[in-house]
Amino acid sequence: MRNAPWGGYRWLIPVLALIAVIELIPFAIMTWYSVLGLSYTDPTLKGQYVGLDNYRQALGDPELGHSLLVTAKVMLALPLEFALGLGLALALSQHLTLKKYVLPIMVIPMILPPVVVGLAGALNLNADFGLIGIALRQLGWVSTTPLGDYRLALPAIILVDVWQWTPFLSLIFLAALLSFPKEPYEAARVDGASSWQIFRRVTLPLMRPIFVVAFLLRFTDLFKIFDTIFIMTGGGPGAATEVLNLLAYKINFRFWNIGYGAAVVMLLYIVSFLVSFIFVKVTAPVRGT
Amino acid sequence: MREDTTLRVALEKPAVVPAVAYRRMQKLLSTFRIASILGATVVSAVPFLWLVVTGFKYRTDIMSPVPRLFFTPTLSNFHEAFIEGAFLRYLWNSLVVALGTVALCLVTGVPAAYAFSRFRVFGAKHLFFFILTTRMAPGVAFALPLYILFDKLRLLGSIPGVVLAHTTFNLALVIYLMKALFDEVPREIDHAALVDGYSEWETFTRVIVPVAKPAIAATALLAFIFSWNEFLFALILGGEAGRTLPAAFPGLVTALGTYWGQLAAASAVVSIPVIVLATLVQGYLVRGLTLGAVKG
Repeated sequence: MRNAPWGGYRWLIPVLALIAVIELIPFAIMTWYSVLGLSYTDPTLKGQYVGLDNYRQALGDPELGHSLLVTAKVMLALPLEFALGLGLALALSQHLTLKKYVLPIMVIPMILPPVVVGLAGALNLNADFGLIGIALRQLGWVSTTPLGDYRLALPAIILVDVWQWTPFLSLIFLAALLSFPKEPYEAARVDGASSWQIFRRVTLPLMRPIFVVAFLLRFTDLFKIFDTIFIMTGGGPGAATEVLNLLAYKINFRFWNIGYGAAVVMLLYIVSFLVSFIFVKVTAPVRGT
Repeated sequence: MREDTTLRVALEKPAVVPAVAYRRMQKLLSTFRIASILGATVVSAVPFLWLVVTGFKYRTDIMSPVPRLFFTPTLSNFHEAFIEGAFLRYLWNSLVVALGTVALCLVTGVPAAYAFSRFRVFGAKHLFFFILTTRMAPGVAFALPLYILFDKLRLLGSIPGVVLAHTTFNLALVIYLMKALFDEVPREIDHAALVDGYSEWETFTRVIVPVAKPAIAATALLAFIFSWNEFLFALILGGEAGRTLPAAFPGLVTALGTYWGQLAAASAVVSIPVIVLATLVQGYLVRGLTLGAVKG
């Protein structure tokens, strides 16, 4: 019974029914829409079949190329969060008594609603009345609010993301550090290795699996980033912070070009599928599937 | 093999730092580490606290070019947003949506996670992968197909629509996390119950679920938080009748100006439950945020 290949499926009926409604059916409809010329605002596009035209248009769309570049730039938050998160985790691992006082505060940015994170960022970065904005202006680093400046908006958004997610990385890195066996460390110390050598030759190799998991999670979340940017800049000024998701939102829900928008969304899917595939492969030993 | 490498490490750079200098350096490093930890803690809290404090300020104090730490506190922003405005109703919607999502995800997801943990499920790997894509794909990638479907089913602009949309990412959380947690419940418990004559279903409901109650509660709270925090689906699919609190925020960022006082007041209200719940589930936070891949 427990080993019968189809026995477990009785338990999955509700979940599979739900998945069919919220994923499979909509997905099928959207695939169909992506080959239609359909727009709620353009009366010439009434839902006629256009083959792969939407995909062809997407691949040659300069706006899409620009958004891809912006999304790639947002990924710069990744190395910053990794470096700061690891540093913080290493510091905490030496002062574990501080952990229980500090962690409840440090988790705040990662559990807040992302819109609130965005608002906190926008308020504090305001050059006229925000804590950080005023400080930056006094230092002469900015003359106006960074989020309203074409060159500074994206770095400001990266800064907010670093604020939001660095504690998360230090939390999982710390969890990993504390789970390592003591023997390799003792052996290295007995052999007279310096702290740097221990870090380089013992800690980092042990950390590799957690780095991979953390990288994949942060990569997907940065690829998904929407709420914070939406509330802070709405993709502006101009299109300076218009990541792929914001562009897809604009095409579908502001211009209502549903056919073309569906094709763009399909392209987003493909990236997510690839990352999910890697995540499942990499974490399979940890999760035991 | 290991002796080889450790020997090489030892030969490369023998520790010859004089003892006094060494101790002084350790002291300095320790001070630096503690300063970094405390600095990071302050930085984590202050921007958010400043937002909360702003909720209690009059407009002139908010707009002050010199940040005001001391000011006459007021509840006028809360009054404007929640009593005069519609935010109290959005708050209620948020609660209903989150509770509905949690209920739907637990009822369908927990038995599924148990099956994944205990039974041989044909094609389990593919199913697992498919469920994961709901957590990995950008919200827009699900919002558009759901918009098209809900448009046909007349679920647009309703609470059930938003609840269904929120099950997409929360189902992945419940199944992944609960499977990892069920894996930690010894199989001997199942076997003992089966030997005692319980059916499969009774073993699950009367033996396993009670044992796993804390894990289920933690998973439920995490799912609640994620639904409570969600913005994009509620914005696109919720309309007015299904508008949750976060989805109401952009309405206060207008071309004429940003209503900072009301936004800050609403931020404080929407954030407090999340912070309280997060402290309750702290032990599960890392596992939840990594879908069971990292034990916190």
